[in-house]
Amino acid sequence: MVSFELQQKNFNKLAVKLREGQQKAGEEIFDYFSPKIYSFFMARTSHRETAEDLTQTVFLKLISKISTFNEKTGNFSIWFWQIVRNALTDYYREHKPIFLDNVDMDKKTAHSNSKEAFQDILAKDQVREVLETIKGFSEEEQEIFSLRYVSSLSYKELSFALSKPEGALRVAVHRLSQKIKKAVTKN
Amino acid sequence: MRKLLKKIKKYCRPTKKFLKESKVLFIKQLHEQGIVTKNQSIRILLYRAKFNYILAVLLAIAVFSGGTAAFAEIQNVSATHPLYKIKRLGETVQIKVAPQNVKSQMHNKFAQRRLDEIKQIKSEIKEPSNNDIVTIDNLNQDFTAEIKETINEIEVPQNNATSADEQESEKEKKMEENLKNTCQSISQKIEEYKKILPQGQENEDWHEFEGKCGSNEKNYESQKTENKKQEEKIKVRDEEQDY
Repeated sequence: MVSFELQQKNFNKLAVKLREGQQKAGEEIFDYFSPKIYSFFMARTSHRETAEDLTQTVFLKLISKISTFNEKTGNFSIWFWQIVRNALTDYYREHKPIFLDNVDMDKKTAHSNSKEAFQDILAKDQVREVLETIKGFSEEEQEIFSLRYVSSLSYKELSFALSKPEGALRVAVHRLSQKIKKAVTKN
Repeated sequence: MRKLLKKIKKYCRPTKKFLKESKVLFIKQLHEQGIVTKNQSIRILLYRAKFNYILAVLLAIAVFSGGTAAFAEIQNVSATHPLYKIKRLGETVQIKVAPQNVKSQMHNKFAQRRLDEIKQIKSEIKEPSNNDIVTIDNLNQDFTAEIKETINEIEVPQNNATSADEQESEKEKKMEENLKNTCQSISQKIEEYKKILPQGQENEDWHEFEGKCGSNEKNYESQKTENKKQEEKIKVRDEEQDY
């Protein structure tokens, strides 16, 4: 298991290599970040196509901005997650938030068996319920929820992404989980 | 709660198809935006190819030279053979890596080889050309050098061991035997060499070598008798003291 510090140093090196024109470095960055970023957008927008568009936009921004990345003054993870968050802010500025009515579930979930289909609808309902509940939370809580619970970021990565101390985030995550529990049981 | 979070995660997960297509798009953009230029890719490829090529050539040289040296050594090629120089190179390497106590034997072995080579050339070529004369002359010198090295490298017993020190005396006995055998072998070679050497070309060094080998034996014998005398003296003294 690679330590977090080592991983971060590695990302900085990869970013420098990408800036110097090495395609493989770009591919490694894409492989690591793309699923996390997509999940983040999906949790925040609740719309598959929007999440896909935003993910691609973020990587296009990475290409256009990589020349400005300075490994001596900053960390690549912090820098990149800032781009991700800015992309979402820009999106909300232009569009109204879409609610879960048109959540496009994976096509694989189309079942011939009616029991399975019923369970799938039930699960969909539950997911919709939680995500809609979370949409009523503060912006910060929504970000923490999507990054920690959906994109599976570690506390250290989370502190990089949100530029907040790790301890404060642990407390925030704990409170958030209590809040979600309460909301779900209430519903 | 955990199950619910798992479900949310599952529904927020991207499809493999999307990730694959996006990656292709990303790489395409990297090229289009000039981040990754073809020249850079080609330069890296060329560098890798060059490195692999050098490595392959070095490996081929190592395998080829090792193989030819082994072939030359096994075949014991003659001095006129094209692989003779490789054989000699192999001999030099063998001498360099050999342990100290074996070096004398190896020089002795190679001296025999030089002698055989001179004999072979002399029997095969009746009217030697200038090149043959140079080759024979070189072999003569090499033979002399090998004999010299054999004598230099030989271990001479110090004769310090007393009768009580069994291990040391056994070791010295072995060394003494080795010295005798080597000296015998050298003198045989020199005798053989003298027979094939043309009249008037006798090397003056031979007298020195013979003297050295002989003197070693003489020295050893005199040292041995002296040791015995000393031991006897000690015995007599001890007996006198007891008395």
